[in-house]
Amino acid sequence: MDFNLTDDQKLLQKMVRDFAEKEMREKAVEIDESREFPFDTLKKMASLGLMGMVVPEEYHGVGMDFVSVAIAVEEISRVCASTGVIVAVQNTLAEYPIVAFGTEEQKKKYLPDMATGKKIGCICLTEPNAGSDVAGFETVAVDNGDHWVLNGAKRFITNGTASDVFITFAYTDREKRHKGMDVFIVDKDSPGLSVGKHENLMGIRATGNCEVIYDNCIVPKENLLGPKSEGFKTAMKILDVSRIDIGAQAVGIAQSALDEAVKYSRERVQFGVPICTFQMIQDMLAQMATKIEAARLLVRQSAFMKDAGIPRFSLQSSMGKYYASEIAVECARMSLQIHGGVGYTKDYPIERIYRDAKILEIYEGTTQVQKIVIARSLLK
Amino acid sequence: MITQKGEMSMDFKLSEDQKLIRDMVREFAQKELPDLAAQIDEKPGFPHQIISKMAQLGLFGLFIPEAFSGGGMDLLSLILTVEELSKHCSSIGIFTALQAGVIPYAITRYGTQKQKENYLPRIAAGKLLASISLNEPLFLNQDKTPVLTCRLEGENYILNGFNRLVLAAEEANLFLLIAQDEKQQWKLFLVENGIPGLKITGIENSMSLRDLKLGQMVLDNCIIPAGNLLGKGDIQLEIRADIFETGKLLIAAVSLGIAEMALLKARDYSLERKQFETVIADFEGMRWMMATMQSKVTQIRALLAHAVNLKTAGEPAASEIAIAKMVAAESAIEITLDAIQVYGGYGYMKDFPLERYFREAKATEFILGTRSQQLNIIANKLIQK
Repeated sequence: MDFNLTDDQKLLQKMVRDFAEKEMREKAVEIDESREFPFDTLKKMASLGLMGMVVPEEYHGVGMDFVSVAIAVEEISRVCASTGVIVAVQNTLAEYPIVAFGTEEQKKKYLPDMATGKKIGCICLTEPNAGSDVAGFETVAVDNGDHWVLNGAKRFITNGTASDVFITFAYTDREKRHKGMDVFIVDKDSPGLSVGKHENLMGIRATGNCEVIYDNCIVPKENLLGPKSEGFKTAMKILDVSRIDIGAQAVGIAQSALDEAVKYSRERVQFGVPICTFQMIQDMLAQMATKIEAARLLVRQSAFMKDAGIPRFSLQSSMGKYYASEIAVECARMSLQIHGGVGYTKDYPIERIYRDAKILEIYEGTTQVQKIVIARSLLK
Repeated sequence: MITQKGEMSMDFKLSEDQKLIRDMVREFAQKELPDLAAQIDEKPGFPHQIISKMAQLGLFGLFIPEAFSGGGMDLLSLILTVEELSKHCSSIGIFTALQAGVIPYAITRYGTQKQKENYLPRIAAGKLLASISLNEPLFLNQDKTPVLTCRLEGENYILNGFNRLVLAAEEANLFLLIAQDEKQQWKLFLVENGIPGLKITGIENSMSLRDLKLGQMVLDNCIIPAGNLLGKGDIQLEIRADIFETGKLLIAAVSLGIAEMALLKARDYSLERKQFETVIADFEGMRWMMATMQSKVTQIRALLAHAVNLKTAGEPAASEIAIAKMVAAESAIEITLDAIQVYGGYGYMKDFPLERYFREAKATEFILGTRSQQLNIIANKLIQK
């Protein structure tokens, strides 16, 4: 593995970093308070290609490699965790399934609008009773001749309130469990589709997280995505990839915690000297920096392996997601520790970072699920 | 340990009176606090109503001598009270730690007869609300000058400066403040809210405790009668340490209450939530996670019991108290994080109290001294020996 970024990747990193600093820093505070979905920021991002990172140029995307996607998601998350996950979902959970499994017609119909940010997408897998047990969901799709009829309800759907395209998992034959599952592209204006309760979360508050309800929802026949009855396999393949982005998001959040710790410890004077001169503070800064670097390398390595077509990347992305999310929570804790009591107020970004970080250990496969995946691969 | 009824058995050996108080507060807290806690977290508003109910129950006077209209109970009774309150609403627990613990202890132990007569009965009755700054108590400015200064002018002291993160800044009637004089001696004052020159300049928007209105206080040439000085001579730093030791034990009880409730909720949820066609309590990963949480709760309780015993016996306990306070807060944060993990996505939602426990646990880490300050106390004690 070449540890250096390519010139293009470096350029991208700088561009996204500058954009995030300029356009998102204040916005991150606002949308945490208001829970407003950041449409205007996304519009600006679209003009930089960030809404169509994995979409080939022929469908109006920019066709980046996954290392680049990880770099972009990390830089965005470093300033705003909400926007970080919105972008990750748009690119790898909504667009990537169509890029990887869609028909030519589906690609032509959906990708150009999504890649240019005109349409927002989400993935609808989790249900109230199906979290870690992915296949435990209850939504069903019935073949009704020239269309499908979907019934069920999904929960914890990131981007849900803002979405135009809902990548939806449903059982076409529940008896067959893993072998009776399918994926559908559901349009926002489909009869019978509605968006339910907008969730009030501790962190990543501006992500439009909500319930999605299918009440005799009519979906055209041609909107079946991927090979029939292989929805479970499709889901796993999508999640293998999206874990890279959530790992990258975690690295970004951890880095933001370190950034704030460095800044504050330089400014804050106690006993006549800046607190960064104390060994205890330096100990924490060193721990954070080392862990972040290790997590970043693990996450980027998984992206690199995906780009290189190495199948084992999925194990690497599990390790990356598990480790990066764990250290993100840890770094947020340490940074808040360094801030002392004032870090508990909303005058400092660390208050928000501390709340944002915890979700990383929960969504896109909990820490427990990642550990099971990793252990099973050792025992194969 | 959690019993089948969902109660925690005590490692403290409790007297009949102590059990009576604990049971009374437990019942009160279960009935009055769970809904309130969520409400005041979402829509900050000072919880006047609950505070007057608590006053009626005599909770604020528990630790105040009977001679001053208090209940004359010991520190452990108050610890149990704060723990039970904090299980359901840690803001109320923290408020009680100050109102019924820190300030009454300071006045009872170091106050003049006049100060005791003037303040203690009203504190016990909840007619006078008392508070302090939760932030680093020996707060110095960038240039090493104190944030609050005092100078003697005739019969009065003149106070200048500010304090941040003052609990119940607007509603409190009495503050315990520490200021430095020209000779760099620290002095403790009982300062009444509303005196000329004292202003509450802003209420913080903080991660939790918003209902209790953490505020910034500015003192601009405030005239404080010499009679409001607390304690005599130049031993004020030792007095302050003693007062804070009592306070830290009470804050550790807040951490304990939060941790116990988080564990209890996680345990109950793990018995309800089914994944892979079985309750998640059946998975070894979950069982061990909860077993680890239980071990940490037991550790907090043991450390706290040990430190309370020493303090009550009048033994030197600075290090033991620092350890109990630090470990309690750290473990509470870890336990609340794990409880969220047991709940999965639901733990991250404001529909359930788990995310609030996590935010509240963090407050107990900096109140009355951060982890670094506790480590310094522990190290100093160790190296002195």
